[in-house]
Amino acid sequence: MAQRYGGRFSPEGTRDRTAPAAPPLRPPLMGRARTSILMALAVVPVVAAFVQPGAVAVAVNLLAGAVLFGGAWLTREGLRAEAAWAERRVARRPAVPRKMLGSVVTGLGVLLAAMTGAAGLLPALVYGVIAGALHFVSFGPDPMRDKGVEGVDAFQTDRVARTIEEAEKYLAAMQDAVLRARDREAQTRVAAVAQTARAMFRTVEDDPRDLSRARKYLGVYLMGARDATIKFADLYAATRDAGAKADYLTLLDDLQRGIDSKRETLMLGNRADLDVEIEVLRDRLKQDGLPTGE
Amino acid sequence: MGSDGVRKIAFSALAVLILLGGLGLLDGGGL
Repeated sequence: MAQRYGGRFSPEGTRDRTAPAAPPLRPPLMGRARTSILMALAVVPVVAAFVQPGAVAVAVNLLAGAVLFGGAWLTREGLRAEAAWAERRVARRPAVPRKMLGSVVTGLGVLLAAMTGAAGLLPALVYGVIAGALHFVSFGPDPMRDKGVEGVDAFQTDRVARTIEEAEKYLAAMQDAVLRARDREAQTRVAAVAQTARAMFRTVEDDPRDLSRARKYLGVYLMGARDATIKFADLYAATRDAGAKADYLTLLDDLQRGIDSKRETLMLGNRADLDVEIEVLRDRLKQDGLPTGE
Repeated sequence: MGSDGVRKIAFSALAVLILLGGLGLLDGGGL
């Protein structure tokens, strides 16, 4: 979406230096362009369908187009899931291996398309297998293993994953709603809050025991912020009320500061746990008469 | 040439295969 231009010398561009820095951009999805090409190629059998002799050939060609498009879509979803898997430090493997399913479906699409040519069923099958294999080589397998869940109980990680999923929804809703306010500064601030919140998500993922302590921030507060954002966007779009904007930005600042300090407390908690572990081990070593460097 | 090159070639081949298959040109067929 187009963004209103703004810089240091723009009317709304004067920001104090203590304001949080703009969040880094998320990297674009790898391989997205290739799935777009595949989607575009799905049009070919559809166009060719109308010069086919016989109704069955037309139908098969149309079906081939639909199947190829489906394969490309599955691949894109698979890439998205893989990116999400790569971003998180604790992640379960995707429930459905979408990329590999995309390979199979693409092969099926080529099989259908080849069937309407002069090729019989057997050559068409071979073409389908080749296409599936090429697709697999070019997009690779899905992530097939759980990551970073050693020594963490599965029930807790699931709870964390669910809570963070919910929290991500609140963030997305906030970022969506603030667009309606048509105010760059508010958008930037909301993006910064989202960035801070995501940093906290990662901390909680690292140690699921933090969940109970961070729960308020992941749930109630973000939900409140989302509701406030919706109200603010509606009001500000209609009235451009500067007071409302100032109040809203203060709220965002408070929220961001709150999240940040909570995250630091969580880290300190982890540190304390580590200190206890080290202390216990050192005591044991000392008891067993091993040198501990003291 | 790394695995990235292999991926690119595989993808190009796939694109050509879909194009020819879609046009019904595989196996010497024709429009």
